[in-house]
Amino acid sequence: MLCFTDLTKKYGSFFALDRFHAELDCGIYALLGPNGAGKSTMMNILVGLLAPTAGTVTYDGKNIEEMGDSFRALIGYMPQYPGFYLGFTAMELMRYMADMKGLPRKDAEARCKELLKSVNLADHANEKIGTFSGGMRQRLGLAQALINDPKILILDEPTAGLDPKERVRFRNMIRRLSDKITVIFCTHIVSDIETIAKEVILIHHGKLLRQAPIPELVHDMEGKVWEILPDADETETMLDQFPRSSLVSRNMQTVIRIVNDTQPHPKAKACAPVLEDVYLYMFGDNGV
Amino acid sequence: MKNSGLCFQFELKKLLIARRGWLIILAAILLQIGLGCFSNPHLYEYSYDTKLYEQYTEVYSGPFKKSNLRKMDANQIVLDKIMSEQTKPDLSSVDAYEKQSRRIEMASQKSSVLMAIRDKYASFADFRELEPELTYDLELTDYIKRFGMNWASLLCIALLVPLLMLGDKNCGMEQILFPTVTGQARIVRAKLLAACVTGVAVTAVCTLLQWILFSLRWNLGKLDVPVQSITGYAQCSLHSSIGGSLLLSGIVQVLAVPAAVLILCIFSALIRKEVPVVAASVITVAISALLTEKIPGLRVFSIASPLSCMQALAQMSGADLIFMLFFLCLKTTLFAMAAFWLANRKR
Repeated sequence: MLCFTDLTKKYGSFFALDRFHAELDCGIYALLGPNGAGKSTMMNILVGLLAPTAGTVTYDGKNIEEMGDSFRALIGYMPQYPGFYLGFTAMELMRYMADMKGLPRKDAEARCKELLKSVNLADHANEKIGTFSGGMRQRLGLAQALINDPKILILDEPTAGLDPKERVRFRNMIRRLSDKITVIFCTHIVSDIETIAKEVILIHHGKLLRQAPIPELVHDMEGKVWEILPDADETETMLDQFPRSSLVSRNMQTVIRIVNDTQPHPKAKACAPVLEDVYLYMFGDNGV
Repeated sequence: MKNSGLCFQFELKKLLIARRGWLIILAAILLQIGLGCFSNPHLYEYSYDTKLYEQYTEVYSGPFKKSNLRKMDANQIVLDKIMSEQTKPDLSSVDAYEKQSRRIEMASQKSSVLMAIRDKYASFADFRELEPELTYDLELTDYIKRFGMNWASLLCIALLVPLLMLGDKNCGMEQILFPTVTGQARIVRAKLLAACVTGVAVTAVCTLLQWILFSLRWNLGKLDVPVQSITGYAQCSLHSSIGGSLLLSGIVQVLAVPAAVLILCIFSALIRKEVPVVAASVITVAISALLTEKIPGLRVFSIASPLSCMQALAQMSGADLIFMLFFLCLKTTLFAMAAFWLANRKR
């Protein structure tokens, strides 16, 4: 069990994290929040790149700072836009990371090959990373994060730059892993996590807004999501009037989907909410 | 310590191969060859007293000779005679009085310098007597004086250290490497060690090159005679041969490198941006060069002041040397602690 207790990070008078509290067990935890919400700060504290101003993070009851090496041996981290030594080949980088993560050399070679294959980079193992596309680098980032068979996998915007096929492949891979490990999946892309996340952690202005399973979050939105078929001249006015709204296509017609506590218009009809509505409700127009 | 050796190997590999540090080292070696082949001995601006002292040491330096002692005695008699005029001032005219005063003052200065030289001469007479009569030409003095700072290697280090310290941060690997089981502290330690080892190796190679080039340009002659045999080194208190002194200066020069390297590591840890760090490092090395070469009085503030050891040897005693080495160790340790703390702190 990974537990964040009153975690605070302050830069001058600005709170990047403000008494953040969450408890995580096995499974995929989606970290959702707008830019600057404190997601990256929280992850950087977890992986030891930042020191908290106050509060603690514990793993199975032990403070991770005191655990030191033994905690770092448990984590796999894939940062947003991972950068690599462009002069290294994929295999050289994997070998290097295996050494840095303390894998015995006799096991490392096979593990590196297996992981490169699983992220579909086996054919490019001996090519220089400098020649890789953004998507290939993302996949290499995931492969290096998994090299030590982590118990806690931390993924910061892992699907950025991946094409739809790679995205599905990636989701499947993470889903398979999540039975035994804790995965913290930070993203803006709601569709990436709505089918795989065990729970969603909503964070804004450094504070935890909500931690709950997706069905519960969606259920709470019942009666707050509306769709309306606007007259041609009403579209722009309504979009301006309801900032938590979006245009969607229904049967070749464009309808406005509005997230609002009350019926926004006499013609508006209640409809079934989805996770994106939760996001809009929480964070659209600066959130609730 | 887990992975420390591997980590060090990787840091060297990354610096020399992945970041093409070998190109910078090659450039430094070429620069060293250029400096060794084409540079000319330079002149220093000394105060009047220093010039006087130098003139005297040049006149009476070299192996112990009875003829030199006789010359010193004769010179002292002349100076005493002039100084005795103090009791009989020439009051015939103002001009004559002023002229006499200046003469007396000059004689007094020369006399005190001469006495100091005689003291030194006497202290080393025992081992000087064993040496045959030798005379070294001026080129060897210039050669010895040129064993000051090794600027080519320091400039090379100023470019290599930011590459090593900030390379991982710039390419985005730092955030992947620090959360591994190896950890930030071991990686930072490996970086500092790799920086020092590279600095020492580059300086050793450049120094060796310097020696070879100078020995090709100017015949070094006998290296096993006392260092006091060289013009200008009569007052040196070290019981050492020319070869021994050269070796000592080379060793001290190389030992002083980690302190200079660690200062540049501190810059990297504080500034954390490659271009400003390179600029700050190169400027610091340049200012140090200026201080050391042009203003000897400010040499102590230079980034690598101990590197100008060979010039200082002329005035150095054994105790001074031990103190200098102790101070160097202390300085290096403090810089290493500061660099480690700064580079290892979490933001």
